[in-house]
Amino acid sequence: MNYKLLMDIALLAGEIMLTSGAETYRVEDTMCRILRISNLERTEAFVTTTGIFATLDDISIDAITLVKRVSIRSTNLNLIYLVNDISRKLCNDEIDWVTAYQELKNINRKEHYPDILIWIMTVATSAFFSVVLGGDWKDCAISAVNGLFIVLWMMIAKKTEMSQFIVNMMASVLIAINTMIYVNFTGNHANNEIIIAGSIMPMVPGVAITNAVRDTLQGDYMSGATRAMEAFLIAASIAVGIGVGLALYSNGIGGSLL
Amino acid sequence: MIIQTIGALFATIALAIILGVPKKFTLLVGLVGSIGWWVYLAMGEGEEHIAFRTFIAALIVALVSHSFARILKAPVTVFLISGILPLVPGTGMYRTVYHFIAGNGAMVSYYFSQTLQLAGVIALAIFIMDSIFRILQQKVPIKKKKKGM
Repeated sequence: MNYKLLMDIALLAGEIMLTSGAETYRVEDTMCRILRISNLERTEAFVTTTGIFATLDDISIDAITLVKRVSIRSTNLNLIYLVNDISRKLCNDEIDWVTAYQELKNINRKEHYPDILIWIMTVATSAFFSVVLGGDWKDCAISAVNGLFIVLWMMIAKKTEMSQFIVNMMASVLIAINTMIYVNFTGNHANNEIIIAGSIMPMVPGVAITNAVRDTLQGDYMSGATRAMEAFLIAASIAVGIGVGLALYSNGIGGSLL
Repeated sequence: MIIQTIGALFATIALAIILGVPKKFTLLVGLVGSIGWWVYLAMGEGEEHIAFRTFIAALIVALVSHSFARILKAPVTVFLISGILPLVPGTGMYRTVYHFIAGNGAMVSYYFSQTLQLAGVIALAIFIMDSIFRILQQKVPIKKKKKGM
């Protein structure tokens, strides 16, 4: 039996899941299940939000231990689903090890939505969330414009590899200023919070919040705390951006806050 | 209310695509989000019992997400992350900042604590539903083996 290959499969599966935004306990669980196929005496996987450690050991073989540092962090639930699927098939003996490894290797290259679709959907999210919060079609239109600001900063960030926090902050500044100008222009003061709260929705840290709760529940306090910190920082960067936008608007441009 | 619920359906679908939810699940994810938001709206208006409404809505969202995940053999996060998002207190966050800039200290602490409360309540709901499904899972060991998460 080629234990090295099994180790590679487990590590690759873990890496893909971790970079796609899976909970750390799920990554550990998946890796352990894959490693346990070997029926060796000692199979361990230890995962943090930034790295993976895995070990296979038995009297009959030399111990195999691998460490993988993971620095890219993004969100792609599709990849988590696909790896989950492959791991389940592998554990049920529906596919052999070589096929599983090939499928994992190929996974990164497919199943991504094109950038343009993501951008359109960012605008749509902003627009629809102001409807969700009770806005009318005019609020919806302004939110769509605000969504364009987010897309604009996403594009800039992609070129310059800017930090997520700066992107959120700058987009929020533009959103706040744009919304306040519209609100003052039309005298429609009741709706500013609907428009702004709806517009920031694509940036809200939903993944971080959910994973923080679920990791903590599993007893993985380290990852849980890291995720909670991430959620708080993202929320704070949006809040600071909105605050700066409002302050700039009232002091710099001279409009009234109301 | 109907318009807002339909809005929630489309908003959650759009969000699901940003987060890379597999194509065949996007509609279901939208359903999860709109059910949650409908429950939230059906129980009251404005800020009336806001924490309790959020809690129940989040419970329902988590319940539906877990059920879909079990039936379709997908990780529960696929449904949960985007489904829960309409309930996340974006408005509270905005109001906190707004009153901070406008200089109303009392309102700042009121909305800040409300925002934290809502976030905590959502966490609690996910926590409870996770625990319930974990217990259910242990009682049916055959099913657990099939899952292979």
